[in-house]
Amino acid sequence: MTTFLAASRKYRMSYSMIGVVLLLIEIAIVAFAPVVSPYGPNQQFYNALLQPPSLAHLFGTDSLGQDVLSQVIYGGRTSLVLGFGVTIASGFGGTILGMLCITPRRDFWIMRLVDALISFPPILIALAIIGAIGSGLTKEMLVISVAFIPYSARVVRGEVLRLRSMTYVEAAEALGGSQIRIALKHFLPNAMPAIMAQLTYVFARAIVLDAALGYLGLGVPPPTPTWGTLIANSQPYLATAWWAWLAPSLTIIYTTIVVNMVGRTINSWRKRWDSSESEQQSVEDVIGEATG
Amino acid sequence: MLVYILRRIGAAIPILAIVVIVTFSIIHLVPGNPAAVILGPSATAQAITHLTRAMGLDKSLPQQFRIWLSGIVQGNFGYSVFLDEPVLRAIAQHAVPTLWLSIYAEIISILLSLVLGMVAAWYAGSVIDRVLDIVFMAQIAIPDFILALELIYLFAVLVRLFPVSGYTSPSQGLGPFLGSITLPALVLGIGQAGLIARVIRDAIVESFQRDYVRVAMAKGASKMRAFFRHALRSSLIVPLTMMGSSFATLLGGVVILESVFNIPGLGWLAVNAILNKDYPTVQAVVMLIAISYITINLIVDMLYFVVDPRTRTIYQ
Repeated sequence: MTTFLAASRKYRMSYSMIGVVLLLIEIAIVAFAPVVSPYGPNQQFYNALLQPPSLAHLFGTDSLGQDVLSQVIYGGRTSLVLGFGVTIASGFGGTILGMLCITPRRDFWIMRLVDALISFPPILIALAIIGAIGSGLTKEMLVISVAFIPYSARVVRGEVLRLRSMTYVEAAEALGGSQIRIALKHFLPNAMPAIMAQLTYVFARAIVLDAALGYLGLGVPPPTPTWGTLIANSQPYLATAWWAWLAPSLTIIYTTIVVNMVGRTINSWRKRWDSSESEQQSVEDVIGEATG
Repeated sequence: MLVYILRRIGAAIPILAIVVIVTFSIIHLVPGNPAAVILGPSATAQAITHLTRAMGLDKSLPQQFRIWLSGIVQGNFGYSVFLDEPVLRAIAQHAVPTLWLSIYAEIISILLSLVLGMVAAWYAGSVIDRVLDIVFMAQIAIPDFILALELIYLFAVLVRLFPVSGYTSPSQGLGPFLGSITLPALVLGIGQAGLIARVIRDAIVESFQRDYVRVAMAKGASKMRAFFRHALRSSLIVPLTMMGSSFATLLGGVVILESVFNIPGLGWLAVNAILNKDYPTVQAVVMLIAISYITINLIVDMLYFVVDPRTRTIYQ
């Protein structure tokens, strides 16, 4: 891990940080919702239904008289929490699964399992399982994580295969390092950039999947606002109250673009880092560690 | 080459087995008795026991799996309590709109990605290229159902060119039929085209750095001739296979889009079956879509073999 951090400090992080900054702004807004949001999450204004944007309601009101902007900000809490939960869970699961692919035999069977899981469109798996076990934030997080574990597993496995042939791994093996030790000490830190890049895409897709589930009515149940349910509720009034649709849609698109930008930044770091010498520990280092 | 085909099919078999097992387990994830859930809270205990026995839920798991599997192989996917018809019939009926929609969407996606990709490559580095790059990024970033609502607003509400929702079968006229599925096909096509177009553009631009194109131009070929006769051919190999797997991804997008546009296809059937706890139908649709995905990917892999001569020599 220290080698990765050391390498990244070498490179200029000026314009490539735009994505990260924009993401942090969004997280801040959502985290400080009670402070930033003009109104409460379910506060209704009965005499101001379906009002166009105004000074009092920057994005207008919806069919229940709720301020759209507040709804979107509070909805962001559910979606972003879910996004982070899914990213961490599927990152863990995928990494463990991918790391297990060290031996060719285990590799074959784990990859068949992963291929099988990938052949289900994530939305279909999510729908089917939620239909069976019911909806709710934790259940949705669990289901979406399971749907995305195969994608992370594939990336990790790819990294494991790539790193397996590195000289320092050969050295560690020759010195009698156990599989687990090799996995943790050598594969994991060097696979991190690839894993992180993949996880940003998982995050973006999880948010979109969550919105899709919410749209179909299978996400977190009302009255909790979610971006998906906001979009669904705005559909009947598309012609007359377009602002109710616009706000959640723009937020989702913004989040997706920003997270993808972060992913691209990580990927470009990764390319520069791979070509530099700092990734590889020298064989002498490994021998030095082993002999103390 | 035969060896390659056999190997690929061999690898697909364990995958199919896992898919079948996973699909089977869906109904068993339900807490409690699935039959009770299907019949709802107002069902009598008698009705529940009756359905439990009819669905074979009182038998042991391995036994249930055997019975279910042998049924599947014979084409018996069970009976839908909700739709009051055999699941197979429901699927056959609802598969048709989805098939039309997928083919239409794939055509749009291929045309769009080819045209935009080639234009971006031709004008590489210029303003047009930068603008198209943003377009591609937008195509990838905007989720399907949001784009769908946007297009509905623009082309069905504002301009009244297409119906807002609904599906007219081809038997009622080619015009209305195409009109009813153009918007969803457009959404799906645009969504897929962004990624492929970008790959095409990058492949063409990169190929102009390669020796074979540079030789052609050194021999006096015009840019257009070099573009179409030399660069294009090899640049289309990877996008070709991508188009194949994008068709498979289309199946996923179809699920939610059919609900947005109210098109009675497989996706619509799946969503409705799930909302109505119609587990046999859910199992059948999920399995069908997964198997289609595997089959399409298999075909795409074979296609790669045919199209790219380099893979042939490796396996001979």
